Order: sequence, then C-alpha cells, then structure tokens
Amino acid sequence: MSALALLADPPAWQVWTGLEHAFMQRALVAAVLVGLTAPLVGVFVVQRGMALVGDGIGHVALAGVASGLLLGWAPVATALVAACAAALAMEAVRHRRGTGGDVALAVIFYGGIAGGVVLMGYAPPGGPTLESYLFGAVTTTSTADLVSFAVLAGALSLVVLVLRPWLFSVTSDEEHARATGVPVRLVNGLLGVLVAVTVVLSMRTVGLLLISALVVLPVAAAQRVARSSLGVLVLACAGGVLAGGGGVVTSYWTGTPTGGTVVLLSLASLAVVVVTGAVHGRLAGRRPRRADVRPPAAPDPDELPVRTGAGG
Amino acid sequence: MRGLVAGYGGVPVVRGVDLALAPGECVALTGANGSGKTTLLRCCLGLVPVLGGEVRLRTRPVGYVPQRHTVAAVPATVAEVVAAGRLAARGPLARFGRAARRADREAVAEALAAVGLAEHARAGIGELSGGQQRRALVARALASRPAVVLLDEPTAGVDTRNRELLARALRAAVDRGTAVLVVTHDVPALSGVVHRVVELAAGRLAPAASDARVPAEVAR
Repeated sequence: MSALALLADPPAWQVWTGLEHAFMQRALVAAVLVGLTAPLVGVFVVQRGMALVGDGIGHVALAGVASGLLLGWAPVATALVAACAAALAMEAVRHRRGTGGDVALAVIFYGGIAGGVVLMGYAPPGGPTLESYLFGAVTTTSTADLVSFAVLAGALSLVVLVLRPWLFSVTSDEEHARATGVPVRLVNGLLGVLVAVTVVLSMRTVGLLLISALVVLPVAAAQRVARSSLGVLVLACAGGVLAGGGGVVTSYWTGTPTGGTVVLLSLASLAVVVVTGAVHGRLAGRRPRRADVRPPAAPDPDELPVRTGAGG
Repeated sequence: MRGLVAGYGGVPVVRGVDLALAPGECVALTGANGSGKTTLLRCCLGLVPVLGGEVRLRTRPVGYVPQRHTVAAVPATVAEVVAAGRLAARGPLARFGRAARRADREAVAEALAAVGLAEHARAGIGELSGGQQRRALVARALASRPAVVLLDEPTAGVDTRNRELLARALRAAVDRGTAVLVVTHDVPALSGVVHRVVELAAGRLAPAASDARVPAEVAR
C-alpha cells in the first residue's frame, strides 16, 4: 500500500471508533475535557455535601442559553454569566441560612428553568433546540466551541490545583478554616463559580439535566477505592475521562444519545466498584479497617471509633 | 480580651470577660457545662459575634482544635488533614517550591510524631478512633507552628498514655513561645503545661484559682 493510500484511508481503529469523522474527534475532545474537569470540581462539591448543586445551577444556565439565542450572542457566554450569577446567589442564600433558604433556592432554580423554557419559545427557528441543551448534543460541537471549552477547562483546572489546600480546608472543616484565617466566603463563592463553569462546559456533552451525574458519580466511585484526598482526585478524574471518552465511542456504536451513554458508563463503573468492594470485603472476612491494633483485654471505652466527628 | 460580651442571636453567653494571654503562656479555662467556655474560645477566633467589649488576636498564625469536627467523614489521610492545617494558615501559594514542600513535609511529620501518630500518617482519618482523631486535630493545630493555639477539650476521649503525649507536645509549643488557651475539664491531664487556671461561671470569670504553673504533683 502506498504512502498516499495510507493517508487517504484512515486506520481501522479510527473507522471502528468513528474517529475518522471530524465531528467525532471534536466530540471526543469535548467529552474528555468534561470528564476531566467535572470530577475535579466534584471532589470538593461532594465533600461539601452539595452533590446536586450542579443540577440547580444547570436550571438557571438554561435561561442564559435562551437569552443568548434570543439576543444573537454566544449561548456559552450568556449561560456562563447566568450560571455564575446563580451560584453566587445560592451561596449568599446559604450563608444567610435565614428562614426560607430552601424556598429561595427553589425560586432561583425553577425561575431559571421556567424562564429558559419560555424564552426558548421565542428563539429564532433553525437554531439549537431546547433538547440539545437539556440532554446534550456533543456531536454538534464546533471548533469554536472546543476552543471556548479548552480555555474554560484550563482556567478551572489551574484554579483548583492552585487553591486545593483552601478548597480542601473549607470543604472538610469549615469552622476550622474560618478560625485559621482562610477567606471562607470567598472560597465558597469561588467553588460555586467553578461549578457554574463546569455546568457550562458540560451542557453540550451530557446536557443540563445530567450534569450532576458527571460531577458526582466518578467521585463516588473514587471515594470507595482511594484512601487519600489526592488519590480520590486523581481516580475521579481518570474515571471521568474514561466515561466521557468511552461514552462518545459507545454511543457511536450503539446509536444512542451521547449524554445518557456517558452517564450510564459512569454508573456502571460505580456499580463495578461497589460490587467488587462488597465481594472483596466478604472474601476478606470482617477485617476491621482500623489503623491501630487494640489490646484484646480491657479496651479503653474512650477509644471507640467514630466516623462523623464530635470529640467531647 | 477586655470587657468581652459574646453570644448568639444577641443573647450574651459570655458577660464581661477580661483576659490576656502572653507569648509562651498556657491558660486553662475551666467551668461547668454551659458556662460559656466554648463560646469564649470561638469568639476569640471570630466564630461567635462580639456583642460588647473587645477581643484581639495580635498575632498569626492561629492553631485551633474544635470540640466538634467534620473531618472524619472526609476521604483523606491523617497526614493530609494535618497538612491542611499548615497550608490553610500559610496560604495556597506558600507550598510551591522544593524547599517549601520539604519544610511542609517535615512540619507535618514533626506534628504527627509529637502526638504519637507518626505510624498512622497514611491511614484514613475516618479509620482512627475518636481519641486518635483528637490527637490528629492537635497535630493539625501545631503543624503551622502557630503563635497562638486555642484548644477545646483536646484530651476528651484520649487515653492516659496519650494524654501525656499531648501534654508533652503542648509543653514543647509553649516553650517555643506559643500562647495556649485551652478549655478543659481535666486540668491534671495538662499538668506541667498550664500556668494559670481561670474558671468561667455563668459567663463571668471567677477569681483566679492559680497564678503559677500548676505543678504536676499537685495537679495529680
């Protein structure tokens, strides 16, 4: 086979995975970017006990998308503004902890999605559909979209990696962080903005309704395997990348929607980890995961194990 | 603190407390449950609003051992939790550079050794017992080599042998010039460390029980 023929005919693996097509290549890059960044933020969101915050912010991002389509502006930019505003409003509500905090959040979230749905009704015909944002349409990712996604993902990764000690401190023990001088409100606000960026990054890949899955599921799986915080971060990102990339290729084979396929792959990996852990635990007997070996006689009642804090 | 009044929702719990803490001094704050000890401590850290008077921490970094904590639920190793105390206090940029990383590692190892947890550095924090977790929190407070340490019942749930270790670690910090304010029901456990014992009753300071370092033999 001549060199020219080699260039003209894509390798078999490219044909097999669908990556001979430019739209599939762009889809793969977009999905990998999302798979990397969503768990990067998700680690801290899950640790903070705000696993579903991405869902709420996604609701409001829809209003931003609709505004962009109506005004003729880039939907990614307007969605980013709306999502960041929602994240900061949510943090302000949470900080106040006043009466009706949940109601205020409901107003923000459902006001956002209702506004988005109504505004989409006025959007010019021929553009992206509501469904493409709700459930994702990664194969329609353009090169310009990819550039925006790469810039957002790079900025997000840099912020997380630089500020990791503060993010860990605030999400693991907020009172201690505040006491030792960490700017807790700033860090919490920043975490909200990071989730907002993740939502905007993910909306074309898995869709606004499935975003929290990519934020939460790889982290949940990694937490069952890794013991250290850094280990959870690395494994969750690896799982996210595999689910994102694997989901794009699998959806090409099966002809299924990419967003749902990516999320189902994440769920499958979590299920594998849970089942493997259960089987391993059963095979190993009831081996305690205690760090110390207590003397068999006369155990100190003060040294009973606790998992959720409270010292005395 | 001078004439300090502090409380929740505008209701004072601490009522007009005057107390000063010098570098290298350890003050034990005792009193019955509900007397306002924890409120006073948390107010010093800005966690409870000041309703009157003033409180000033003139120096940083500050180490803090809270009575209740949430770190046990976090997937992290003991070393990571202790390092978080140091990195949180020094700022996120202070860890970059080979020398900084080595200094961080050494400070964490030293703090863990001081509380007798060196061999558990790589264990998950949630795998430790309650008493071990208290010791890890003390290590977290000491890892930043703080100028001031505030501890809320650090010996609660810690066995006798490790209470001695904790006392030794605090004594070393005090000898380095760290000011220590410790809320405790168990002054004898910190014998040889505590210089003064002050008692809080219904939010007010009772007359000083002692102005000198509490000798070990008396405390016991």
